[in-house]
Amino acid sequence: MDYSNLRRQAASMKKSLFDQGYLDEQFCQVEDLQDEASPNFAEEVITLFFKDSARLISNIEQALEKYPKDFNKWDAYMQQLKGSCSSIGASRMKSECMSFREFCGQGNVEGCMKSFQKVKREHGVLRQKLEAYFQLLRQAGPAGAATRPGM
Amino acid sequence: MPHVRHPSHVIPDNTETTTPGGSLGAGTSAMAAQSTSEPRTEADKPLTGTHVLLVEDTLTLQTIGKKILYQLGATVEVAEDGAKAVSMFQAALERMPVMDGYEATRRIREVENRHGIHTPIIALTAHAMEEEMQKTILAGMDLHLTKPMERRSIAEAIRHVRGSQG
Repeated sequence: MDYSNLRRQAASMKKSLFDQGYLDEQFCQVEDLQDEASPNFAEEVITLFFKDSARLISNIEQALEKYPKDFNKWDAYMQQLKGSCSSIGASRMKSECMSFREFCGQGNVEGCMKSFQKVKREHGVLRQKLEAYFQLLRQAGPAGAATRPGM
Repeated sequence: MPHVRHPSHVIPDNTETTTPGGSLGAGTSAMAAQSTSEPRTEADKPLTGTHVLLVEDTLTLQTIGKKILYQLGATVEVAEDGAKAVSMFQAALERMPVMDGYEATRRIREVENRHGIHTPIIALTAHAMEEEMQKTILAGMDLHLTKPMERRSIAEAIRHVRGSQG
């Protein structure tokens, strides 16, 4: 198994995630927190992020249905999601969250609905891409040391 | 459960308390630093000897915040909302409604006045808007930072508030 090649592939994948705007500098900050005590810290945080974000998205979905035109409530939920996105450098998701909040501010229901669909789409895409990235990293790690946390 | 915009707080705390599980809280985190003795500060661990209570309701932000603080040398506990933060600070369980960071700070100041102490509290907000800064000052916070939490600014801020303590 050519590990250096896998590592190169992983680095290249990460670079393209940055170039395409999926991730920003904050993601590097999270990776920089990795140390001997938590060598898989970045992957653990990302896993937690997708747990958090799935829950928050579900909350927003329910709120959109149960509390029509309650823009304050919708905005409050989206603020939480935006905060999470921001903390891991999920740049595109963060932008869509901000769009949604702008529509809330304008009282624009249709805008909110459309924007929310985009948030969900970006969420799904990011999840796929980061899963692939971490899978590659795990394969590229020391032989036999790879673990598979659920994502 | 939705919440309105609040600043973030992390309150250093010297009592041994368990991390409570439970419902959503203020959705904010705040920071304050307090040492009981002279810290053995090393260049890379400026918060050695500092015990910090991180108030944050989102798991992702709890995890990142804890890690940053651990790496800076602090010991960390987490409260998921302002009410839990106050009760942990007081080291006494009280039944309280869920409150935000401003209210938590006001109540902490009330408690502190009775004991003649002042714990530095740093607000961590999403923006640096005039209105929010007024609120942080009125609530009795000492310093104000903007999110996301960044290693250097946190270290500097805590050094600053610790330095200005008697």
